Amino acid sequence: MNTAEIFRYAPRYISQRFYAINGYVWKSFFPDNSLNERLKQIKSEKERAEELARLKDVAGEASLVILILLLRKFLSEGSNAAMQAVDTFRELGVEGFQIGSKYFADRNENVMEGEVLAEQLMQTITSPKLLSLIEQAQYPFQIINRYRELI
Amino acid sequence: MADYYFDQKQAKRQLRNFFRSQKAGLTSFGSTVNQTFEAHVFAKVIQWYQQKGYQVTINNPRVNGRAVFRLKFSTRGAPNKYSYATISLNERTIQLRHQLRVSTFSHRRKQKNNANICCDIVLMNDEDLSTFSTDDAIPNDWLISFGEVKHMSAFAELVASFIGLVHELAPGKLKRIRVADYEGNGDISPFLYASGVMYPTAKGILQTIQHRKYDIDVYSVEKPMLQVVPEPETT
Repeated sequence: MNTAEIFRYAPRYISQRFYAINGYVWKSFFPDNSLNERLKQIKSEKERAEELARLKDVAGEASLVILILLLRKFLSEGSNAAMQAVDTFRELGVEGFQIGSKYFADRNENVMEGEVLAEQLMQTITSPKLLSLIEQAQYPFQIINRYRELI
Repeated sequence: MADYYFDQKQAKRQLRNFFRSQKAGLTSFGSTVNQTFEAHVFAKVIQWYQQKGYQVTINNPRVNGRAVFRLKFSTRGAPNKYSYATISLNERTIQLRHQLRVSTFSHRRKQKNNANICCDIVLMNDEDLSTFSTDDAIPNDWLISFGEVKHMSAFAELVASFIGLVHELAPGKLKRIRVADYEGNGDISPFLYASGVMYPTAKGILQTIQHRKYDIDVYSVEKPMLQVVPEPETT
């Protein structure tokens, strides 16, 4: 299943935001011309192709972890952002704020919407190893470092 | 496809199913998430000043005779129809505004077309904007600082575009200011706040900003405003 297929049912704002993660991971593993330099060291064309395919698989798996990590963070931080805004404004005597037809106050469903979705996302994932990779990382570079061991 | 730590195919399938089953919720969340982040950054700036000992008061417009808290989530609209914060310490009072039009540093009053930019976050002198219309811009010399809020990950072009904004609005910040004895000038520096990650291309531009000692900041999920986090790798 390719990236486009993963995002087939995703709202556009999500696919736009996360589509480029593979490029980010690839550039993190191989800045500048380092991939070419590395592949040049391999004499046989067949082995070069195999190594390139292996690296793509590693980068693909790392990208998937980062995608879920960032998606979870994006959803959960949507709620965090709303909670912090609501709390700061409340200290200043403002009970809540309106965005379009939605009213944000206390811990109402609009404030918690992102957190609920983030929990749903984690319940969807069943691989204990994948869940553990996501739980143990705060930032994408930590996943990159973990997968760099395989590069 | 080789698997290393987990079954990739299964994870991809589960992710696709999540998007399918939660589409309505994700769409609803997406309809306000950008504005929520703007409200969050507005609140963060308030906290930044509160931590420095400033007193903050929210001033609300009156709608049908009643004071109503309204943030300005659009570039259109007269400033006096929206809420703003008054930030005071000792004798000094400044204002924090949301989506306010600011004249550029090089704008001249008699020029044919106005040169101004609508900024997401504006810190300005304590001036009366009650007669300002949606198209009016505050003079540049009222501007104390500003912030751009982007609900996305940062890439090189975004950071470079922000430097362009600073060049237009506060070119004095693009000098060698953050030298060894730099302690800040007491106000928040112009900032770009991206809610996502800093892509390596953006980190590269950020490093050159640091080399050049510019008095500007770029915040992101890895380096939020007002929070100590582990330094990301620099290689």
